[in-house]
Amino acid sequence: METIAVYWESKVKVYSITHVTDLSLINLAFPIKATEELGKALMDLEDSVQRFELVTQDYVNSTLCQMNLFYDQSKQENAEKRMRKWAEKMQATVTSVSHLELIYLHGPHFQERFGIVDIVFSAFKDDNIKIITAGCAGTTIYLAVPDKTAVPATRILRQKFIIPATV
Amino acid sequence: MEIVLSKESPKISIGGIKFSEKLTHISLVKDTAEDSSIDDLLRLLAKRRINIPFLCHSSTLYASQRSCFCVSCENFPGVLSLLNFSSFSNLNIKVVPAVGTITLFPHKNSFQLLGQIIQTFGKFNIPIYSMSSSISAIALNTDFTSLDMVAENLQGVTSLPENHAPFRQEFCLKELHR
Repeated sequence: METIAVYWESKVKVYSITHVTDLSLINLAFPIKATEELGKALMDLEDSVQRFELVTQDYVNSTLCQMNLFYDQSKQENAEKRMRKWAEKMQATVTSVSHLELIYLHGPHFQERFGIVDIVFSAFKDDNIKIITAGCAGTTIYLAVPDKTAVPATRILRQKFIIPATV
Repeated sequence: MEIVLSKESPKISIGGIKFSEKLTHISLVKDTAEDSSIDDLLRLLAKRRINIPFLCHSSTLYASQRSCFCVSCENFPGVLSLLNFSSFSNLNIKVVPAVGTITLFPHKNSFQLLGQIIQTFGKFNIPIYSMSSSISAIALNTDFTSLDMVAENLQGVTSLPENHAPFRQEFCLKELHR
């Protein structure tokens, strides 16, 4: 079966562009062999941290992975304490950063269309906005940016994309 | 502080599991945090109309930038020719030729579900080449040939609706023009 979708648009339409502020990041560099332990560590955060905002993971090298976990800054003390305890057991390294902001945009068939993430990265590069972490999966693009950057960054994205209010 | 090591958990209800088509996974590392190679590469990929169904980028720490992304296997030769350009030749590049993305939804921002997924991959020594959450799902890239086994193992910790959709999509979409 062949399905053809054609988008005729000078600007890409998105469903929404939203941001959240006051987030913390835990970066965990852990040995791949400790992946099972990491699962337990994450479950251990359920009661004290309650929810994550964004999680990404990739390989650092053939024996080491890194996970970036973004969550509500008000839970930082609890989250860090817990994670450092687990990191010791996993022989992992924890680095914590606070005062971060997260922008997310999602739109129709983003995962099947070329050039969407380029629009975002180019716009941010032109305006010197640093992307700390980006996670693009499915129809969503998540962008973690430094403190007090989400509002101007969102303004820039609103010029690059068409959002429902202006359709 | 006491850490609870093991607690029997009931299966977590999820809405579904989805597999991607076969993809090629490309990881790039740049030793300086202030480098625009990834921006340039994304621009070139867009110009060639090469879609990126998954991307994970980080310039947080270690004074380096790490990016990984997936393209369809048919698009990989085009990506490779771009990577062979001199401006990218000093990037540390790693390619996994046949990966598949397994997507579980919804995640409901739950550490319990996230932890169970990661624990399952670890327990069965299944590689996670990269992972990212989206607004409602968790997407993990692993060996394409392992997708069925991963789904089977994940059903040990999650429960699917009775009439869930097939894991493999029966069609795929491709953007031709804009």
